[in-house]
Amino acid sequence: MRTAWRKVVRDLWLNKGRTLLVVLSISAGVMAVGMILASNTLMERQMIRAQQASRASSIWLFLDGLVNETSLSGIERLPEVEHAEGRIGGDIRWKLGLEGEWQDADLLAIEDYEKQDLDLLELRAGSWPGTDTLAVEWTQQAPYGLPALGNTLYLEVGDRPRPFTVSGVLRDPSQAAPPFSTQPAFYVTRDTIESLVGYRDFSQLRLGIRNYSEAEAERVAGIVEDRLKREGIGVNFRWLQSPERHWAQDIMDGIGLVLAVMAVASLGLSAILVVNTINAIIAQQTPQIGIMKTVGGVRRQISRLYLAGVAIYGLISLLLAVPLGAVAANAYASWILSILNVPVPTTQLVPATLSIQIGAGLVVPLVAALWPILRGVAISVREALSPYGLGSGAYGNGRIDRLLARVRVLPPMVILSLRNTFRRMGRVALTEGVLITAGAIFMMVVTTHHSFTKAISDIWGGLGFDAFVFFSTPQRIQEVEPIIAAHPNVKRVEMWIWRSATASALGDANPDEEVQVTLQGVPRDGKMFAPTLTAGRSLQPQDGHALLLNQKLARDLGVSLGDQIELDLGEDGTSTWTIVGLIFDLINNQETAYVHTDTLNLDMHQAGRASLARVQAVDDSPAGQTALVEDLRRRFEDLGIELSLAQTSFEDQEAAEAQFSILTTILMTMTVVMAVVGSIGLSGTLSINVIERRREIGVMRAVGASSRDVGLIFMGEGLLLGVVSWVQAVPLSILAGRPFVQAIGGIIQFPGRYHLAVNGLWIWLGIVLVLSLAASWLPARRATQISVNESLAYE
Amino acid sequence: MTENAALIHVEDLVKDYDGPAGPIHVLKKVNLQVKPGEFVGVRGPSGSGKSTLLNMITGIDHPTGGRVVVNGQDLLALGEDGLARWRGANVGVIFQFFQLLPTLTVVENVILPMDFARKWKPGERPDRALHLLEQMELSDQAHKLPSTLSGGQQQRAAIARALANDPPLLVGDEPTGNLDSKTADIVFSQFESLVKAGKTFLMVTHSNSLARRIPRVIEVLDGQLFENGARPGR
Repeated sequence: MRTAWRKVVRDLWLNKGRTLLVVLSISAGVMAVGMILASNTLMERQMIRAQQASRASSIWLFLDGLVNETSLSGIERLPEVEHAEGRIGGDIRWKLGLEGEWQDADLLAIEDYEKQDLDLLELRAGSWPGTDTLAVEWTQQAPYGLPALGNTLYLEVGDRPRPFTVSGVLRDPSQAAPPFSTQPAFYVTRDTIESLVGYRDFSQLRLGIRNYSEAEAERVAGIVEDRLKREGIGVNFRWLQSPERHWAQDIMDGIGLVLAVMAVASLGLSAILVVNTINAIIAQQTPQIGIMKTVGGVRRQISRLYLAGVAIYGLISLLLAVPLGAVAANAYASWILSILNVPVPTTQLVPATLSIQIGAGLVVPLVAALWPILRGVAISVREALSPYGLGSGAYGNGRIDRLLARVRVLPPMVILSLRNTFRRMGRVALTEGVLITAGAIFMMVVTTHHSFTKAISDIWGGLGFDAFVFFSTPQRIQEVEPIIAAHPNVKRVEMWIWRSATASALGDANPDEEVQVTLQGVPRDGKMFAPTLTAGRSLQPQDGHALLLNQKLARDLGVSLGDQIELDLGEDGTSTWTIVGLIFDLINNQETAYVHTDTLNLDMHQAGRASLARVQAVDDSPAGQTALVEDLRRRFEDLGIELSLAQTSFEDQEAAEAQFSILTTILMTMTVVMAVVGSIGLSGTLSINVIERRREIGVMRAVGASSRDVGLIFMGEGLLLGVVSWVQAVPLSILAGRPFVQAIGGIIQFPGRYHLAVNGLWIWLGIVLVLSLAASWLPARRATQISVNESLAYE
Repeated sequence: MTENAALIHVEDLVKDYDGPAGPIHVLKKVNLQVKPGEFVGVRGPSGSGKSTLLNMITGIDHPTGGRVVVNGQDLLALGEDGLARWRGANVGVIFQFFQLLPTLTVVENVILPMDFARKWKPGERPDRALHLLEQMELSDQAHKLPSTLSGGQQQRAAIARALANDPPLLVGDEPTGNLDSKTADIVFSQFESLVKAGKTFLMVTHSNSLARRIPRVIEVLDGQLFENGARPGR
């Protein structure tokens, strides 16, 4: 059989174009599988390592008040607490140069940078902050344009800019790069922060516990909060996390699963292309199969030859796919890890993925090719050696053939393209299947992006404001409202109140069932707030203790419309509220509830106070909003009223959209791989058509067809295949779009509503037309190069 | 002649094909016997059933009825793979259009049947192939691809391939049909030499001049065989 193996190798070498097509289509699928599986492994491994290396805390408490060392020591001595550390946080404004504009930033300090126990800050360059020096977070340096090590920036102290030198660049595991952060963080000493914000006690607590479980963390957090309550310190916000598991791991697992499914689908599409190509090879080599059988070759021997050829395709594709997949996996993992502020590992291979890729690269093509080969080799010698003439295959017998035969109004060349396109229905079906799948997924990904963006736009639209200012302490409404209303660009202002609380279902004595909730007090006569309701109704002017609850919180509490919940306002006591509506809201990790301001103020034993002003602008363009916020900031500064935050609606919305854009980018990357596979498939099909119709091409040229005529016929077939695939992909994407959006929303805990992106349908039409033209160009060119003499000679 | 004495024994052979207008009766209960060492020509108009007869004898096609026994083997008793193996060892087929595998060199085309049949040791096969090519005066073309050879050279290479496993029977379906007359003459002389060397040769031909050189000629007409004006008996 040695001689026969040479035939295998030479067939591959002498048909380099076809070999390349098959290898590329297998490589695309194998590379996608390798990239996704390896990157999932790399990311999970690195996220766990980073979490463990940073000695992550289990409980973060953001305080309404300050805790001193004595109190902190007392908390650390609690038997339930293994470690306790305090952090000091504040707000500051900064600018790069003296002429620049002030921008918001967070100011942070810890007790001792040299001696840390929890959520370790890692010094990456330079030194820890000292007098008149600060450190910056490494992932924020470039995006926010922070100065390099040794350079200076200015912090706003009083009304004046005070220079600080960047002494160090550090990594803070609790910080992230944009879009997961909206402003930079600066790290200073306790003495410095005291000089800047006026206090040196701790506004945040980080706690480590033994034997972490969510229930245990809840229990310990409750114990500490009770202790703090007794000291007159409230908790605005509580965050629990596993010290072993990165906060983003669940989301990354979900996204990884979706991508893995898409990668496997790509591999499946590649397999379909292999089937198509092997069918064509067998068809082309049928006379050779007949000869081999004539000279004594049995089916098993001949099948082995062709399977060996497929195995060689697989091996060559692995040479491409394995390194490319590893590079892509490392690049993708590095990108995601840097966004999540997890140190990026050195480039590495994942052995387990390698095995899967090798299996996929060899087994999948062999399995795909098995049936076409066995069927092709089973042909009788007589059939295989029948004289080859024009129009092999019984054209005209099928229903579609007969239907198309009735189409006579078009010019003959167009009719030729039309009828030729559907001559080999099996091959057409396989090629179309690949294009339809790629197209449907593309349109679904665009629709997903549109659905999420629309949901974000609806939420922000429902909040009804163009800008907001947060006061550092609740202000008297009568004092601040007129100041804001007096601004010429203000159309309307409403004074709201924000308050943290814990909520539990009424009558539920189990402290494990309490959840954190951010209460937002809406003016009774407010007109801005139009929430996205998922059940029930909005707040009415006549409502008392009525509450709109975020649907996620309702699910967590196990409550629904009409149920009552108890809100614990800490030192302000508890109160009972009735759920009149469920809403979809992204604010504060979907842990929001909306009530009337005056009702909440009463329960807080205060009147006429607001912590937040929401403003509608006359000029609501981004520039108008930005100018308004700057004016208000300056005005309140002049009046000595401290703001903790002032922001435009579009900045807020942009940050939310940017986070979802990352997801869309990830999904679109896989879609591109599938589109490439589809394009390769189309090119392969057309190439095979050219090879099979050599004699027809010769006859056409013999009767006067120019190269342009021949080329146009094949380009026409390619375009027709592309357009027909689009026509079928559109309804499929619409049918599957809603479950797809829901599935993605479930993974990222964002229950976005389905909104079809009509522009996505047209964009894919444009793409598929371009791909079809590109895919058909080379085969069409090859067709034009076939001479009459060459094509009509017997081969 | 008894069945055992004949190399080829065809008995009441029928072959029908399905056509668009009903069955086409290509061979109608034909009988034929060929002794070892005979040189038999088969002639007839287009569509008369000549190639079909050859296909029945080589096992390339299956009869609708009757028997075909070649070199003691009832071909109907063999399946597809059995026929392929049997053919490799017992029949050398020479086609009108040469049918050399285009991606194998001339010598590799000759070795190929030996690889399938495993009749010779692997080390012996190249030498045997070169020897056969030398007999066909193609030694200097041995390592070239078929597309670089002339028609006559390709056909001589095809003859060498047909002899690869030293089969007792050689069958040619218009083996000179694609050659000019001078080359056809040269190739035909090769056939005569092979018959002299003890091979049995069955050949379809359209050429009257070549037919005159064949000792025994069978005429095929309307699915029936005629020899010397009469139908051959059993």
